[in-house]
Amino acid sequence: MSHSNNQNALMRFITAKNKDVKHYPGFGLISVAFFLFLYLPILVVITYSFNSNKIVSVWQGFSFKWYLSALQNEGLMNAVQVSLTVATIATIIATSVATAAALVLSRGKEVKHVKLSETVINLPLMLPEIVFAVAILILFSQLGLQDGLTKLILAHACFCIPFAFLPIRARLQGMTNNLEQAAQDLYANPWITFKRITLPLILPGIFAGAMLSFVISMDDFITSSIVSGGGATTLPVYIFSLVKQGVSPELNAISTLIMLVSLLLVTPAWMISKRNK
Amino acid sequence: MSIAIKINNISKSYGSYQALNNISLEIKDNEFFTLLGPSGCGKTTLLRMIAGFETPNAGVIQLHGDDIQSLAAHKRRVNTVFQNYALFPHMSLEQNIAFGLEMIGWGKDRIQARVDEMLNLVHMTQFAKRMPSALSGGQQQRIALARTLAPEPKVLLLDEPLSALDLKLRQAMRDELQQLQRNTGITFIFVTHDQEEALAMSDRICILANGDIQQLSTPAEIYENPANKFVADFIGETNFLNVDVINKGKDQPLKVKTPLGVDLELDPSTQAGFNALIENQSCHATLSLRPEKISINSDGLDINLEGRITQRTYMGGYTHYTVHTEQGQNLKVSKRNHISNNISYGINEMVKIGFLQSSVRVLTQ
Repeated sequence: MSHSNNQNALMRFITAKNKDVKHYPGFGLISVAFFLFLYLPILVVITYSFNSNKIVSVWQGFSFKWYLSALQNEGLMNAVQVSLTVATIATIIATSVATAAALVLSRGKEVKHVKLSETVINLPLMLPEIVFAVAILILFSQLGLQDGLTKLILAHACFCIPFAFLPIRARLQGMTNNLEQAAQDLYANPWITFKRITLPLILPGIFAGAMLSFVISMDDFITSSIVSGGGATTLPVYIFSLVKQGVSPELNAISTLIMLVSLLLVTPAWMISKRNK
Repeated sequence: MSIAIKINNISKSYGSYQALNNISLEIKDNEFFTLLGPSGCGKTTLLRMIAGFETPNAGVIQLHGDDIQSLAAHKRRVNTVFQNYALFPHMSLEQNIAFGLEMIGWGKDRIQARVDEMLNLVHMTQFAKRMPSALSGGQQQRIALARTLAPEPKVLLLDEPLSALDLKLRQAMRDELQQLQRNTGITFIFVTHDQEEALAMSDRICILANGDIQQLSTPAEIYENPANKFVADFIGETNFLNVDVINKGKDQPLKVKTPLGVDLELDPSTQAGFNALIENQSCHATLSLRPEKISINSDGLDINLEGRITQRTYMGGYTHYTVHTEQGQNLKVSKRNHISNNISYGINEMVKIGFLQSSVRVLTQ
């Protein structure tokens, strides 16, 4: 009897004014603990990037010297340049290919094997990256491709396509093709229909796809480290080589800088997508 | 009067499904023409063929005498009002209306003047700068109309444009559409599954079912003189009775034996289904008699019967009764509730019912 009473009370507690998870007891505490768990290591990295001591974990005093030495490190700056170049070009290629693919698959007339094509496009998402990396390494050696930058760009463009494809495809699917038909009905030829109707409406999807591609490319380690050589090293691969020589305080400075750049990139993207809603 | 659209032997199938089966019809200039039928009857397919979004398997479509079936949609001087309006969500109402005018190469000032004129026509002038998402369904409907009428199309196609609106708005839009058609003089081809809409607005109605034309005529003719059982059933309410044909033939009166205990002799010229009856081998046929053609306790009618009221439904302006006749048939009777004559009959009450022979239609089964 009292057991069922308790249960009723519990049910009332859950269903009545406390429907919102924010009102559950301990919600605040758990949230704080969760965010500490997520962000404390990052905070430590940022804090110690300003540490003047050569030993990473012992605080000595405030200093910008590791930032200076990082920015003066030629190998590091080279790696940054390679990463940005690769990410930019790979993003442009991947987004273009993904947009074209999404358009054909959702708007093309009498297109056969739509499901199969989608699966093939998305396959790199499901494949272990190491398999992809080895495969592309073998392909490049068969082709006799030598230039490091070209190899990186091609490999990155390849695995970025599904990441660019997904948001663009979702956007196209959410938009009825009535709009394009209405434009054609009002005498717009197919090219003008694309330029004035389809493109503006899927632009948020293309933008999201491009951002995703860029971030994935910047972040990639496995493929880059296997394919690199031929005089081109990306930032993650370079940082890994630094770690192997022991943790330098320079690393903290580099990490903080990368975070800053990411924030600068993501914030406008977030603001644009918010405005579009 | 000249022909706006000529459809000649159009067929369309999707796989094994025959959507349109050798359809031919002509739509006149300045006509309010309705394609009416249940869903899946092919009416939207036909409309989309005229617009250029579907290609027929066979047949010819002409617009003012020119073949258009090989022209792409954007090259046809016909405009469509889509079922869900399809307003461009990233453009203001003004820009939406101006779109078609830009495409046909009008100058800026001329476009602005026309946009203002169209906004005025649909009473939306004060909303010019708004985005479509800020509008109600009825307002979006008006803008969709203005957008399609702006480039002065030769023919306007309307694909169930009222089905997304609530009842009151739908009735108001009916009047507006009719007014608009008269004021602009543009040929309207209207697709709907709603028979009331079709009857209320159209100059002529083409009833489609299973890919075939069932009947093409004026609203009154279709209601009063249906060509077959499908049409009689689809439009309005009716009583169906199985009858035996005693005599049929060219230039002879049509005689039928009814289960109401009386034989009827009918003038074939009043029967739209007469030709079909003659072609049919069977001596069995269906009689159709509209409920409002039967009156209760009235004099001066050809056929008089007696029966008992078994059901009564009060509808405000009308009362619907079901009368069980002495011969064991149930007949639906509809009686208008007049100001002066608001007698009502109770359940189980014995009444006299009667109708005119000329109200009876005989159709093939």
